[in-house]
Amino acid sequence: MIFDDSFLRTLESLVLLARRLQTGERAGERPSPRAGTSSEFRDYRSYVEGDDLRSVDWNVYARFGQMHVKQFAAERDLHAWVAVDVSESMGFYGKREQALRVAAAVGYVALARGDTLSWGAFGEKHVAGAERLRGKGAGIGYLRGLEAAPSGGKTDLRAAAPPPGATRGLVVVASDFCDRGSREALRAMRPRGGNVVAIHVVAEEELKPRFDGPVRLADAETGTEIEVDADEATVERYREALVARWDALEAFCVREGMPYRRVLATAPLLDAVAALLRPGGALARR
Amino acid sequence: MNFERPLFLWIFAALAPIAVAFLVRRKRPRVVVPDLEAWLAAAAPRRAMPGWRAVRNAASLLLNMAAAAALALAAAGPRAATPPGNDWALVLDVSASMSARDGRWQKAVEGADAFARSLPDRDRFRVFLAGESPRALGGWRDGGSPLPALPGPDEMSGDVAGTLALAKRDPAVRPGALKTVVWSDRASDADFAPKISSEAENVEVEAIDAARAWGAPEVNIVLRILNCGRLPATGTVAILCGTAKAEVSFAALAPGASTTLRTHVTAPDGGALEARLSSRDALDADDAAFAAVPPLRRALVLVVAPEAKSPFLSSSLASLGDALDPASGLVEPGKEKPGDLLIFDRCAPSAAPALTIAAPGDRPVVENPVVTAWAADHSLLRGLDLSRLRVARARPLARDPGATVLIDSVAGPLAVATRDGAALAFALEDSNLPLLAAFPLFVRNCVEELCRERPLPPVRIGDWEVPFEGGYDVWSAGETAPHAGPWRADRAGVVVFSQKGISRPLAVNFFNPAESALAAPPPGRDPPAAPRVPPPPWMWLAAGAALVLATEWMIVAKR
Repeated sequence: MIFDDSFLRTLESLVLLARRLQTGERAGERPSPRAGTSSEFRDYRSYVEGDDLRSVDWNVYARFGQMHVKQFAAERDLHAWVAVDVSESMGFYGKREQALRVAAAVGYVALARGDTLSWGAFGEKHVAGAERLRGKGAGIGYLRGLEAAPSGGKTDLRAAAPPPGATRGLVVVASDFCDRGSREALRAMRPRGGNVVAIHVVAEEELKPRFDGPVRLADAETGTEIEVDADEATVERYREALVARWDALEAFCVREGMPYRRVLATAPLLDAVAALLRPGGALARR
Repeated sequence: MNFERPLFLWIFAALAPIAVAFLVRRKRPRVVVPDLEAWLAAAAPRRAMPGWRAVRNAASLLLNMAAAAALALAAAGPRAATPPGNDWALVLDVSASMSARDGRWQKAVEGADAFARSLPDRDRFRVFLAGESPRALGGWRDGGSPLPALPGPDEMSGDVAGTLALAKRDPAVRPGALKTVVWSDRASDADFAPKISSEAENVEVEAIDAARAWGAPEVNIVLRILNCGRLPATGTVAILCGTAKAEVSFAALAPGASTTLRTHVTAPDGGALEARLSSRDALDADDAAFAAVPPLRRALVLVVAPEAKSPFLSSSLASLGDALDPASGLVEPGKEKPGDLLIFDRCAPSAAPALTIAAPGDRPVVENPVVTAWAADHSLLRGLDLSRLRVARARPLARDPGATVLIDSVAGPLAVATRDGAALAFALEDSNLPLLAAFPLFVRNCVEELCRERPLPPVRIGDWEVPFEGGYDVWSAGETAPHAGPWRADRAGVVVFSQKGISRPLAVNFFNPAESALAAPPPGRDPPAAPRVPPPPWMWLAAGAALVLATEWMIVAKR
C-alpha cells in the first residue's frame, strides 16, 4: 500500500495548478476562457437565430426591446498526464518507490479535483498506464495500476511522452533522468499551451557511494562495465560530475519555463509533496 | 623434430588448469550502479572499452597458455631432425714411449677427452688402443660423453696402423661416417693427429746379461746402452744385486750409437739384479733392466770309465778348480749317480747330459781319418784351434739330423753335439787331442755348456716374488705366447708376468728402438673444432615464455 488514508485525505486538499492552463474537453471545476454552460455569468451578445431561447435574458429585452442572450463561462477540467519512470536505474536506493508515491499523489489530487488523468509507466518503452480517468473513484484503480506496473529496461523519456493530441494540459514526469536525451524529450513532450513538470528523483547514496577501492562498475541499464579505482579523489570527481549534471538539468528546465523539483528518494512523502506546493510549484493548496 | 625428454610434453596437460585458473581467477568486485555517466567523467582515463577488455582477456589467456606451451616444449628438449653425424675413432697410442716425461700421455688423454666432450650429440665415438695388439676399449658412445677409463701406456709397441685398420673394419661404423683421430708420438695415416709430443733426449738400457761361471762368486754383467737422443749422452748405470753394488759409466755416447759396458758384482747368493740408469732422461720405462742371477754353484762331474780314469781327463778336470763339486770323481759303469755332467769314457752313455768318448759300437773303425773341418763358432769349441788335430783310429759317428757336427773328417763326423750332450768318435789315447792346448779348454767348455741347469730359487723384484718353478706365465716382448722355461731377464723386451688374470711388467729392457727413440714429433693435424652448436631450442622457448609472460604482465595484469 503506497498511501495510507490520512495521506489521501491530505492530498484531497491540494489543487493541481498549472502555470498555463488549458481547458479540457470535458467540464470540470476549472474556469475556461471559452463560453460554456456553467452558472458563472460571463457576457451578453445579440441573439441570433438558432440560439436557445432559454438563454435569452428577458429582462434586458423588456428594458431595451432587443433580444440578448446571456453567456456563461464554460467550466473545463485539467487533463493531467503523469509519467513515472520505472526503468532499471530507478530500482536503486528507493527512487522507484518515491517516484511512484509522487506520481500517485499528483494523479490522485487530479482525480479528486475532478480533472482528467492519464498516466503511463515507462522504461525503455511504455509499459503500463491508463487514459482519461475521472473522478475520485478511479483513484484506487490508478494506485493499483501504479503498483502493478512492471519495472526494468533502459530509461527513454521519449516513451513517457503522451500520444500526440492526448493532452493540452499538464505533463508531470517523475524520473531520475538518466536518459541522455532527457532535455530534448522534455522539450518535445511539452503540450501545446501546456507545460511539463520535471520531478527529479535522486538518492543520497548516489552522492556517497558505499564502495571504495578497485571495482568494476556495471551500468544497470546498458550492462557497460568500467574498472574504477574508487579512491577519494575519484569519488570526489564523480560527485562533482553528478551534481553538475543535475544542476544542468535544472538550469535547462528553468530556461525552458518548466517547473523542476528535485526530490530525495528517502524524503518523507509529505515533504516531497510539500516541495511541490511551494510557491511557483506545480501544486498549490487551494 | 624430436624430443630428448618427450615425457615433459605431458606438461601440455597443464594448459587446461591454466585456462580454468584464468576463468576463475579473482577479479575486481562488480558493483552495479544506476548510471555510469558521472563515473565515466570522473574516471575517464581508466575506462576500459568492452571490446578491448574482451580482446585483453582473451589475449591474457592466450599469452599464458602460449607461455605454458613454450615451457613444456622447452622442458621436452626439442631438437631438429638432423642427418647422422660422424663416427669418430679415437685412437690412443699406449706404447711405452707415450709415458715420456714431457707429458704426452696426459696431453693425449686430455685432448681426447675434450674432443669427445665437444662432439655434438649426433656424432659417436669409440676409443681404440694402439698397443702391441690393436683393440677397442668399450663400445660406441654418444658425442659429449667422457672417455672410458684408460690403461696406462706400458706396452712394448704401438700398432697405430693396425688399430686404424681395426677401426675401419668395425661393423658398427655407419657408411662414410668414419673419421679417425690419433693421439700418438708417431706419424700415422689418420685423418687427424694432434701434436702431443716433443723431441727429447733419451738413453736406453737396451740389454743386460748377467752370468756366473761355475763356482765363481762374481757375476759377470754385460750391459748394452743405446743413445736414442739427438745429443751425445753421458751417464752412469747403477747395478744392484742384493747387497752388492756396482756402477759403470759411459761418456759421450754418440746419438744413435750403442755401447757395451761390462762389469761384475760379487754376489754369491744371486738373486734379482737391477741395472738402472742414474741420470734421469725423457723416458723412465727404458732406464732399468732386470736379470735373475743364480747363486754360486759347483758342477758335479762324474767320469764313468771301465778302468782307471784317463790321466789327460783327470788333469783337465782338476784345472777347473772351484768350479767342480768336491764329490766329482770316477765311478764304475752301472754305478753312476745323477750329476751335472757325466763323462762316459769308452763305455756306452746311460744318462744325460753326457760327454761320450769312444763309445763302443758296431760301426767300422777307420784308420787315420783326416780332419776336414770343425765348428769353431760352436760353444763347445769356443776358443779352440784344432788345425793340428790328428786321429789314429776312430769309429766315425752317424750324421743324425738332430746332431751338430763339431769335427768332421773324410770318413765321417769325429765329434757331434746332440740334445743330450756331445760325443767323440775316438779315444783320447788314439789322438793327439789331449796333447793340444785346446783339450782343457774343450773340457771347460763342456762343463760350462753341458752341465744341467738346476731350478733357480725364487727371487724378489720389487714387491713381487718371482718363483722360477711353476705358477707363472712369462711373456716377452715380441712373443705371442708365454715363454717356456725359466725366466731369463736378459731377453730383449718387456717381460710380463701373468698369473690369475693379473699381468704386470717387471723386467724392462727395451729392444724396440722405436719406443725409446723419442724422435721429432710428427706434424700435427688437429681435428676440426666441433661445430659451434647454437643454443638449443629449449633456450629460445624458455626465453620466449619469459617474454610472453612479461608482455602479459605489462599489457594485462598491470592494468
